[in-house]
Amino acid sequence: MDQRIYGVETEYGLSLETQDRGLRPMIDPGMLFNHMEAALLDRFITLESDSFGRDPGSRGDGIEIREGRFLESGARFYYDTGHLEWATPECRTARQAVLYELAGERTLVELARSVQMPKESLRRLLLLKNNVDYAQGTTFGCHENYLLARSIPFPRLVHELVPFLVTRQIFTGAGKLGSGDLEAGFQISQRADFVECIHSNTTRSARAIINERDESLGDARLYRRLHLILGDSNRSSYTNLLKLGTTGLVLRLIEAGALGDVPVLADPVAAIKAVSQDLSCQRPIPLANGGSMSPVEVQYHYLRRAASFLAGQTAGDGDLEILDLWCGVLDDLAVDPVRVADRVDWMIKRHHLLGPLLDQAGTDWRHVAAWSHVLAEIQRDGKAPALPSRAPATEQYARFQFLLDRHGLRWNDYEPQHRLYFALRERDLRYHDIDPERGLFSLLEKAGRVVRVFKDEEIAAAQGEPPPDTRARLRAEVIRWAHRTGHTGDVLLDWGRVAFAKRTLMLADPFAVAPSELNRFLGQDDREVAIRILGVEEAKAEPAPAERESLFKRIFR
Amino acid sequence: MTRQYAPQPDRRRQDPALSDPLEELRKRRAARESQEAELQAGQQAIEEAQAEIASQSQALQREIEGLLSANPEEFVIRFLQTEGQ
Repeated sequence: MDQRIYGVETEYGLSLETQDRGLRPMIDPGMLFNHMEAALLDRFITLESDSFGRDPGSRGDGIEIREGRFLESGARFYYDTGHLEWATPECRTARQAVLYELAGERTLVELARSVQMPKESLRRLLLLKNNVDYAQGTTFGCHENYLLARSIPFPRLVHELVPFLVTRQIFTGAGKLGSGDLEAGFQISQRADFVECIHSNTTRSARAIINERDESLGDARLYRRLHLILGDSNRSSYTNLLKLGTTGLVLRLIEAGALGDVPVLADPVAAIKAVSQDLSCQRPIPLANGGSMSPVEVQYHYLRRAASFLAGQTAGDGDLEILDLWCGVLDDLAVDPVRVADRVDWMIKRHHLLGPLLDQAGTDWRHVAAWSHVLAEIQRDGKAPALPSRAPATEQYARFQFLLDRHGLRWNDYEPQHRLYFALRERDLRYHDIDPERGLFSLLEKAGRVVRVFKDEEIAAAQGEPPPDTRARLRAEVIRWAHRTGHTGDVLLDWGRVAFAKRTLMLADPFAVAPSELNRFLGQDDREVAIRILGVEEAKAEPAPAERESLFKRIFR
Repeated sequence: MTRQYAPQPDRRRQDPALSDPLEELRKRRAARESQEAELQAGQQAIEEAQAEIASQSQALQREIEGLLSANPEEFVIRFLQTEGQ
């Protein structure tokens, strides 16, 4: 396919910050979502979203889903599994998708700021765009969606894409404290620890490198929607552009059959964790053929194929930009990963936020890693989220002495390391705060430590205007029409359909910006005429076999 | 046309600097001192730039600290999220 649709769904961490910059305990995320939704209705024109049974209100596991609203930008605001979630509109390029993700962040900040705090002791609603909760070890996602040609056999897709996905984290990871490598204390990816299999259709357990969910949200005979849940939530637009752009390019090669042999990994699930723990990006990963390649080498393999492929094609500016960024980041990682400290989230965080704190404390990563291991063991033993803040009595903790001995540690360092353990984690969490006045990534950006991709004016424009070249534009027109004509209560929107007075118009082609029937519909202020127009066009696209199967399971489980 | 030999004047007699071996040493020393001064100026510029960077980094770290809570442990423990997708 020469053209593609990109989209990103992000689950946000929600909390309430107090005036002294602490957090309020025991918040109800559903209540916070309600406040945000009320603010949304006050400030933006929207229409109700309805997935027509695709996202049932409850999954049977007590987790609530609220369908939310579509906005004029074509984006969707909703509540899923205890998180406020934001989906970008359908975008044509990786660059456009990153821009709309930023526009979404800015809109959410505006909403959060307009929520009145019920008590003076509370300062603001806090929104973190990250993937981990260090207190309980839970994770939440940032899902990428790529429209793909239906003709690609799924096994070939898995075979050719997995080595790329496993190793792309070296320039897409958001960075996380704690690591299976007991000497590192920090790892590249927030999500790698939670990946358990190569492919699966679940998202809250048995998470996979490639999710099998196959809802095209369009004409399922032509397209499938590749749903990736392994990626991190990025704050750096540069990192985000690399993530979406390189993945889009590799998919183009797969569709064109231009990838040839790929370096097949011996154990992709083990490799994804090993790559995340290797801060040098150079440790060899075992291949199925008995050889090995480093993560950087695997990425160079894909980059070379992409460059050769595009040399024989009419490459757009967007493709060339991605190739250039990809080559640049790999060249820097190959020499010294610290060279990407102005572009790639995990290294920005480690170099500018966490490293200086270690210097201040007069310690190093090896000691932090060793103490993290000890503290985690003590925490596990206590079965409580809080760690004892005072140095434990020797007899009480005698059974941990062997751990200290193993790492060459002394109990005297317990208290400073305990403080550092949490100070590092607070910095990590606050890196992901999307408020430009308070988030630590934004502070680094303002200080000129990281590269900017978009200007403020571009982001502001994307808040109120949909991408001009996808069906998101139609959705925006329907929203404007409903508000202009007073029909906001009559219209329900889904990604691929408009329902009006129980009639449904399918918008099966995500690339189409002007089906004639919709134009006729939008030209009508008269409700009856509008219904007649939609009635004439009423149709349902044939679901793909996998969609039918999924529907069957959902109905009969 | 034949080239006619013309004797050259004794340069040492005309140039007192060359006639005096100490003068040569002084010139060399002046050149060395000028080079050293340049190096020192360069070094000083580097040190100033490093101090500026360090000062900026310290200012940045102070700005960062201004956005943090007084009790990181409580902050981290209270950031509780449900298992997402």
